[in-house]
Order: sequence, then C-alpha cells, then structure tokens
Amino acid sequence: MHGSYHWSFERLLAASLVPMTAAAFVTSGSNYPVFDGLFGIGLVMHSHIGFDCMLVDYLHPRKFPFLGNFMRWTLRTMTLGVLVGVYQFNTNDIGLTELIAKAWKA
Amino acid sequence: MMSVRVGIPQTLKRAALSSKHARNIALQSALVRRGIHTESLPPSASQEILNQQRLKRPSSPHFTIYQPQLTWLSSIANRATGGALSALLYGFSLAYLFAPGTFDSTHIVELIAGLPEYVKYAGKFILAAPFAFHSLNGLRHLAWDMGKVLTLKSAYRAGYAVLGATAVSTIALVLM
Repeated sequence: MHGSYHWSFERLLAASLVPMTAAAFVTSGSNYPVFDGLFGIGLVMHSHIGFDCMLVDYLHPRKFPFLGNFMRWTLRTMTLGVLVGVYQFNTNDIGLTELIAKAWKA
Repeated sequence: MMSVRVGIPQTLKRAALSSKHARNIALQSALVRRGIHTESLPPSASQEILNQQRLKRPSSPHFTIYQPQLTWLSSIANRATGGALSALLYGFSLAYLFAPGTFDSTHIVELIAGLPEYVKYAGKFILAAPFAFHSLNGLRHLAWDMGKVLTLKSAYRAGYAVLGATAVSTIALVLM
C-alpha cells in the first residue's frame, strides 16, 4: 500500500510538468520567479526518479553490492548539488526558462 | 562395465564392513591420493559465490535477436531521451555551481551566438527532438497509467501518433 504512494507521487509529478512546460513556452521565467523555481524543482525531482529507476534496473545492489550502492549515493549527492545549482542560477542569473529562450534565439 | 574400478567407492566398500575409524582413515587416504582440497566457508559466503557464478554464466541472446518493435523501441527511446536531457540538466547545473563565472547566461548566449548557422540548427535539432519525443511519449505513458490505450492495437496507434507529433513538433521547435 505504501509503495503505491510512491507510484502516485511519481505520476502526479510527471503530470504537473505538462502544464508547467506549456507555461514556460508562453511566459518568461523572469516574470514569475516562483513558478520558475517550482518548475526547476519539479524537473530535478523527475530526473532524479528517472535516474534512480535506471540504477534499480541496471545496477541493482543485489547483483552489484558495491557499485549499486555507491551509484545510489552518488546520484543523491549529485541531485543535491543540482538543486543548489538550479537555485543559484535562478537567483543570481536569469533562470532556466529564460536561458533556454535566450539561447534558442541567439 | 563389470570391471573393478579404483577410487573412493571401492575404498569405502572395503571399509564399510570394518569399523568407522578404519573407514575414516581409508577415506582420508583416498582423498590425499586424489589431491582434493577443501575450504571451510561461512554460510554468508553463498551469496558472493552465487554472484560470481552468475557473472561467468553465458546468457542467451536477447537484446541482439529480439525483433525491433514499436513497443520496446519507444520504451528504450523514452528512457534514453529522458536520461540524455536529465544528464544535460545535471551537467549544466553542476557546472554553474562550481564555475558560475564561466557558465553564466551571458557567456553561454555569447558562445551560441558566435557559432555558424548550421551548427545552431543542428544543435537545436539535437535538443528539440529528444525533448519532443520524451514529452509526447510521456503523455502516452500517463494515458496508460490512467488505464487508456492499453490494448496492443491502441498502444501501437498511440505510438505512431507520438512519432508523427514528434516530427511535427521538432520541426516547429527548430524553426522557432
């Protein structure tokens, strides 16, 4: 039962990315910085879950006791770093959606 | 095959009718003659031995012989595109975290602006195609999670729709 909550959370997160991506196309991140932050967090969480699934499928700790667990913790550390990096970028710079918009038109 | 054979069974047979002590001595001597070495292991070593054996076992061809089908091709493509896009996000974010001076927006936009046109178009295509496919196939996945398009026929139809929409979206994004 508890596991199904993980499943539901994963799908709700993925579903929430759909309207957020659409909004990112329409407006600019600078106009709605809170939205930009939520979008960034949502993307990073979605990516983390995706990477974790790949680790479980290809580097399960049962078969790869050292490498599997090592990569799990490496992923967690990297996700933490990415969250900090995204925060820094959104605060001190123009933000992810704005960067993509600018880079696309460059 | 009625001939007498040498070895442990013969030794045991001979010793069977004598005492247990004599049988053990006969067994030990047979072992020494054969040169068998034994090692004492704890029960916890079983998992490690099993893993080692599994690594050495041959595996039947699977990935190399399975007929290419929309089902599994779209599935692995979804994973590959998602992984690639996330790797890009992670790479950029970590790069900005450790070297904000080099990777800030002004530098990046300047770098891109300085590239030749065809490189820019190629770059846009390389980014747009995986993004479009992953997003559209993601919608197909969410539809499955809601219980829709689960029959083989409808899954294939939805898959072809995703491919078509990906092509259109990629062109639209590249031209934006």
